[in-house]
This record gives sequence, structure tokens and C-alpha cells, in this order.
Amino acid sequence: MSTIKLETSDGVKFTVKTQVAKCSGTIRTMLEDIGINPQDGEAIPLSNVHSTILQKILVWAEHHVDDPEPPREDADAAKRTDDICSWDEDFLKVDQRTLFDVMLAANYLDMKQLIAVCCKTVANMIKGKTADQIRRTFNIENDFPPGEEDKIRLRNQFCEERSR
Amino acid sequence: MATVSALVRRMTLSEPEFHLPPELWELIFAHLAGKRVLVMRLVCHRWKTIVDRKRSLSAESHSTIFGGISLISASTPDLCEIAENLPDLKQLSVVVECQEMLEPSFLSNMKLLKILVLRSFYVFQPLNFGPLKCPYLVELKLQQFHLVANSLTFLASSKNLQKLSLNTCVLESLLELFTMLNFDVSTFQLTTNLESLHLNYCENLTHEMVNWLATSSCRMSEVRLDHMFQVNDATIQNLCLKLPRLKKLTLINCSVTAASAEYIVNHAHSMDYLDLVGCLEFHQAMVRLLKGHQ
Repeated sequence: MSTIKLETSDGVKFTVKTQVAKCSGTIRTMLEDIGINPQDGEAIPLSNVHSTILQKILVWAEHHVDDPEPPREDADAAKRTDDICSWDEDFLKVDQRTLFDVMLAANYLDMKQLIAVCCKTVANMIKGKTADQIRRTFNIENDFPPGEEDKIRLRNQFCEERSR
Repeated sequence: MATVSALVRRMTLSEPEFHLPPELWELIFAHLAGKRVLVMRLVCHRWKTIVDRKRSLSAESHSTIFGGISLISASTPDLCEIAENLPDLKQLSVVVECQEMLEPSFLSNMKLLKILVLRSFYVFQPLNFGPLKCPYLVELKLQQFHLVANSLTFLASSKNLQKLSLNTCVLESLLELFTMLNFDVSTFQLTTNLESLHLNYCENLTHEMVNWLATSSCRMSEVRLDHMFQVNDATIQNLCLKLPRLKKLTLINCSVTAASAEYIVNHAHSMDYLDLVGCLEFHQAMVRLLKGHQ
């Protein structure tokens, strides 16, 4: 079985099955289009990914490597957030920082299915919360000048009425 | 001067959220529909921008399917951007949020626009169409605008305009023009190809001006006047007299009396639809007359 080497931002080298590494669109392109030859034994540098995160992502890729190509979903199905499989759910039971790092790395590595499942997880963290609760969940500072929030709230109300 | 502790607090507070680039937040927000999107506009400035941007993007993809755009809230730059990117748009419906005079010059890039619905977020937002060139415009709906001087002159040049709806609008052009020139509205004929006119709560229009608009086209077949207290029996008589094709008349809370009922029964022969909500006296008289006809 062919393997390739990946090198993370902190200089850690991973030896990965080619098939698993190809879950990443970015790596796939490097191998297939640009023609980087993995037989050379030289590691592909992933300068935006830390070893702890790559390790996690490789676990995910290993588990999902045989997944069939997802069908082109219609817009409604894509909007659902209650269809995360239980393995993924457990996989993403991590602290927020790690979740965001996984998401960023998945974005960099172009792993659409992993990005999608992360987005659904974050969306579920937002659902049913008030603006204030959302701020506390994500440690966001309310940076609106005084009074601005009320103004937006008023506009929101207006939009709601209009969109009915 | 911010103290060191405030700065440190700021850094630790804002850092995690800034972790994700806007395009990832956009993907996340795509899973949150309707009311939840509105809540996210309240969270912080950055989220509000992302939500509003995403909204106009989703409107773009929408447009490729239906040939039309519907936006909840947009500023003038948003509209210019849409016009530049979607010159083939057929239908645009938008709530405009603009604090200065709105001059929809972006319309000149949308030559194929057929239906334009503009609602203002602010009451009586000044609006100036200027020399509007939308040769294909068929339907125009305006809500909560203050149409400044001569803004309605485009009516005469938009030969394809069939439907006009003014809801809670002030029409300065007519008011000021006519009072200033001591103009006799009844002799000045505006010619349009309008087939449908809807006026709702346009308080400053005199009944002469309602006449003037309603009878601007001999093709007029549908007139709806809601909460127009200046509409009286004379208006109705004039409509019946000058609009031979009038088929549909809706009057809601207008000051018309039994005299109009008689006039309609005797003169409006094309009419096949009459709705009289809140015009009690008129309504009763109409019922009485129609019973007599049977």
C-alpha cells in the first residue's frame, strides 16, 4: 500500500496511506495535478496545520476513507443539522478551540465533508440561543455602540414583519 | 487611554471568535434560517456584516433560478453592486435602508427590469427617480417614500408601466408643482399606459391629484384606493366617466356616500368587481340598488 509523508507546521512528520491523505482536496491536487511524487520520500509541507490537529483529522479521514461520494444534496437537506452521525458527534466532542482549529485545518485541506459536519456542530451550538447567550458561548465582545443593538433589534422586527 | 487590563481583556475576549474566517461563518450560518439569522445580526458588528453579506449572496443565487431578487435590507452600495453584477435581472424587491436621499441610479444598469418593489425602512424616505430609464418596467411598487419634485415625471416616459402602487407615500412633485404654479390639474393631462393603480394612505394627495393619476390612462382597468380620505363622490364619478375599461374597483375606508353607488350602477358598465370595505353608507346603498335591479 502506498504511503506519503506529511509535515506539519511544528515540524512533525506523519506517514499516511495515500488513499487517506487523498480525503484532502488540497493534497489530492498536489499529487494528481501538480505531480508531486510521493515516492521521493520527501514530506508534503502543511504549513497551516499543527500536528495535534492533523492527528485528529487523520483519525477522521481514516474512519471516513471508504465513504461513498456524497450525492449532490438539495438545498433543504444541506440545511439540516440533525443528521450528524454518532461517530462524528463523538469525534467532535472537543473544546471549542480544537473544534475551530479542526475546522480551519479542514478548510485549508479542502475536506468538504468534515467542514460540513463541523459547521452543523457549530450551528447546533447557536440554535435556540439569544444574542447574549451566543456571545457568551463564543466569547464574543458586544462591540456595538450603546443604542445600536436596540436599533438593529427594531430593524430585525421590521424585517420579520416584512418577510412574513 | 485604555488600561492594560482592559486591553488584555479585550484580546482574550475577541480572540476565539476571530479564529474563523468569514467564509466559514457563512457556511455555519447557512444552516440557520429565518429568525435565527436575525438574532445573529445582534451578536456583534462582524457577524452582522457576515449575515447581511450572505443574504445578498443567497439572493444572487436565487436570481439565477427565478430571475428575481428579494432582499430584506439593503443600502445604496448593495443595490449598485447587484445592478453591476446582475444586469439581466427581471425582478427586484427590496427594503431600502438609506439615510440620505435615495437616487436609484443603479436602475440604469438594469435595462431588463420588469418589476421593481421598493420599500423604505425609514418613514418618508426622500426618493428621486430623476430621469429614470427602465423601458421594460411593467410594475412599480413604492412604500414609505417621499417622492421629491418631478420624481413622477418618469411615469409618462415609462411606456410599458402597467401597474403602479404607492403605499404611504408623499408626492411632493405634484403638490408643490401645482400649488406653486397655481396649476389647474383638471386641464393638465398626464398620459400613461397604466392599467392598474393602487394608492394606500397617501395623505397629502388632494382628490384632484387622485383623479389626475387614476385617469392618466384610458387603459386603466383596476383601481384600488385604501384609506384615502380625500376620495369622495366626485372622484368616483370622474373615474366612472373617464375610465370606460374600469373592471375592478376597491375602496377601503374612503369618504364616499350613496350618491356614488347610484352612479356606478348607471355608468360603470364594464365593472365586474367592486369591493367596499369600511364605506358603510355606500355599501348599503349599493346592496339596495342591486336588489332593485334584480
